[in-house]
Amino acid sequence: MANPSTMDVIFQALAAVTNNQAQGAPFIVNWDFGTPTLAAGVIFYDGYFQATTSGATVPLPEPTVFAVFIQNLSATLNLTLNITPGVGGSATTTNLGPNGLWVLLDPPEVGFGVTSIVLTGNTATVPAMVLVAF
Amino acid sequence: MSTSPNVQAILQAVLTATNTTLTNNPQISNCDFGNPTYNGTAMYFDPYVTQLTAGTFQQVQLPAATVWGVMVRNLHATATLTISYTSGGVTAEFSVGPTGLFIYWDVSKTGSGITFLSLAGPSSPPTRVPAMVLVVA
Repeated sequence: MANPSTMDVIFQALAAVTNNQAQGAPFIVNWDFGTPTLAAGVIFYDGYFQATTSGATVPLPEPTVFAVFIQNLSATLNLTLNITPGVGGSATTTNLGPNGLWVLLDPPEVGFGVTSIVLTGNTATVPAMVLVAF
Repeated sequence: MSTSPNVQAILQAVLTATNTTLTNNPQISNCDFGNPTYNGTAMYFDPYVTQLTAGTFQQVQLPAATVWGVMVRNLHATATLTISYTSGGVTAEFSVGPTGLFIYWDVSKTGSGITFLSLAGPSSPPTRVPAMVLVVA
């Protein structure tokens, strides 16, 4: 049985796009995500995770997690993400620059989920914000 | 009037975790992403893309060969949405349930970027899954 819900993971977000070619740079997109919330039983959060050049494994609090938030906190270096989804999915090996963000949030926990995350700093250790939850 | 970049895409986001077992649900983490802003030359936005049925992937037309800003949200009430994307030559597949979302947001454009994006609803039962999609190049 899954862990009982003891926490809420709340993502409050807006995406806005402005047209800089028009006078006053008006908004052409204003997207409200509607505050998707995952009722979690377990969580791992590190506000300054150290992604070493040899690869650092994120300790998942459950074999499969359904909320993954990763942000590259380096001012100059890239961060490589190796993220493996659950059954039915295919893993990603991708690279994020400074301030880059990778998010997968599945509040009802009915998708593939994620079963493994390894973060690797490019040329030196890269700090990252990491939050995962089930 | 500013002429460059053509568009600016701003992600204003705060991630909060609360402990719901305690009175008043105190916050146990609060992460401000710092409004990462993407200076783009082109974009594609569709607030209601209707996906094909029977697990058939529908390609999203990217506004450039490589994009570094992608947001996808499942708008269906009950069905899952599968997201397939190619980054660094590797094609990955993840899926999210209702209200679920996927974001790849690299404002420095120094990472791998995304060169292919497609979406699919479930094949059993076959369901047309609408999604909100924003792509910035």
